[in-house]
Amino acid sequence: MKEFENIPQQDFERIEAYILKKMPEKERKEFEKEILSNAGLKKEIEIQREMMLAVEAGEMKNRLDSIHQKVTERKSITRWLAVAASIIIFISVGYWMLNKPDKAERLFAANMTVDPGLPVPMSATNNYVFYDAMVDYKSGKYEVAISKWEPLLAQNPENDTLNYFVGAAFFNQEKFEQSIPYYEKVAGQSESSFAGKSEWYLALDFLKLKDFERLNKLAQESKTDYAAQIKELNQKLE
Amino acid sequence: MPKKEIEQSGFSGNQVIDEFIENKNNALEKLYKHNYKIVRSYVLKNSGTEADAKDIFQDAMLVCWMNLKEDKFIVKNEFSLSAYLYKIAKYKWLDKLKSKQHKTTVNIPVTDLESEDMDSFELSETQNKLSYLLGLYSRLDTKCKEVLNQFYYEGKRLEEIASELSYDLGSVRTIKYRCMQKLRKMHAESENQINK
Repeated sequence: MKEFENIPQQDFERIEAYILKKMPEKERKEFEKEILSNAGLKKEIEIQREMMLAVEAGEMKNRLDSIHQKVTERKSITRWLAVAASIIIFISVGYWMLNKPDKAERLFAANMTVDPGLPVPMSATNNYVFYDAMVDYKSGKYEVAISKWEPLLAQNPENDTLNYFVGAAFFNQEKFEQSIPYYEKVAGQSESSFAGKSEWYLALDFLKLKDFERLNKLAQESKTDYAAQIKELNQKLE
Repeated sequence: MPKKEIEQSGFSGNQVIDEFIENKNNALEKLYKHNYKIVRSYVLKNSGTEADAKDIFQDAMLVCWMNLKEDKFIVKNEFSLSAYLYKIAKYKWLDKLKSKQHKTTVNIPVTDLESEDMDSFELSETQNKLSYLLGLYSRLDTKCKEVLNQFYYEGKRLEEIASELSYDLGSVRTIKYRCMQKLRKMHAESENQINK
């Protein structure tokens, strides 16, 4: 077996030029003549071609691998986009849901009023206890007022004025939950002059307590002169 | 190799195919994107894994590329290329399954394998050559690969390579020569072993 010998660099480069078609026309023609008469040269050209192919194939294999990453990565990118999108949606919904109560807070603050109470007659009156308590109410002594009105209420459970102001006394202390039954009683009395206001304060109660369901129901069903206001309040929540 | 002349057969008249033969990345990506899914689908449906699909497809791509370069197959358009590629992939996979069957009870669609009008000899000849050449290349050191890739695969000019690697022109030429001789030597030695 012939031992391997490097061919000279010049020859190597010449063959390379031929294979890569970088040889000038004239030179190429002469070279091809030489090939015809030189079997060894022909063989060498063939081998060099193969070695070049080896390099190309080797690198091609690597490239295919990185292209594979790129092509299949696309899928995971879309998956990531989908995940990102759903996270964004989730956050938005969550934010909206959390935001509603804040909106409710702001809406309550904007609409909250305190009933100033009834004017107290100067002269003596049969309803001394009532007006005595009213003085307490107007001075902000709500618990005292309630304690004085409660016995009266016990005797006149349906009295709209008493129910309304006891409710108001609770409301002004921010005891919203406790004000509800009193307001509800009056709201249900369509002939009462306090019915509309009671409904309004009920609406504020529901708003404050974030009971959007009851607020909505009230807005739908209200028939008093405060109905429009309540509806508007409900709508602002959306 | 860059700058394929019209003389070289393999000029298909189709840009993607020409660029494929010229190792252009765009063409590779395009072909990969267009053809991988269907091969993957086939392999997965026939007891293969994702890894199998990847290997089979890449092998098929290389064989296809090689056959195009060596004019063993002339392709006019991308459809026939896709069909050819798919055929190669199918054949390779079924072949693999067949050899696996000795170990497992995998159900091969035997009719599939028989009805393939693929010239199996041509396929295995190319594959053998390819495997052999890849083996040679893998034994080269990184420095050699660096220069040779840029010159022969990417088709860069020596001056470009020299400036990129911060060598002088003469050095690059010498490195190229020496590295190719290394390959040449490995080839000669393995030929000796085979006792041609």
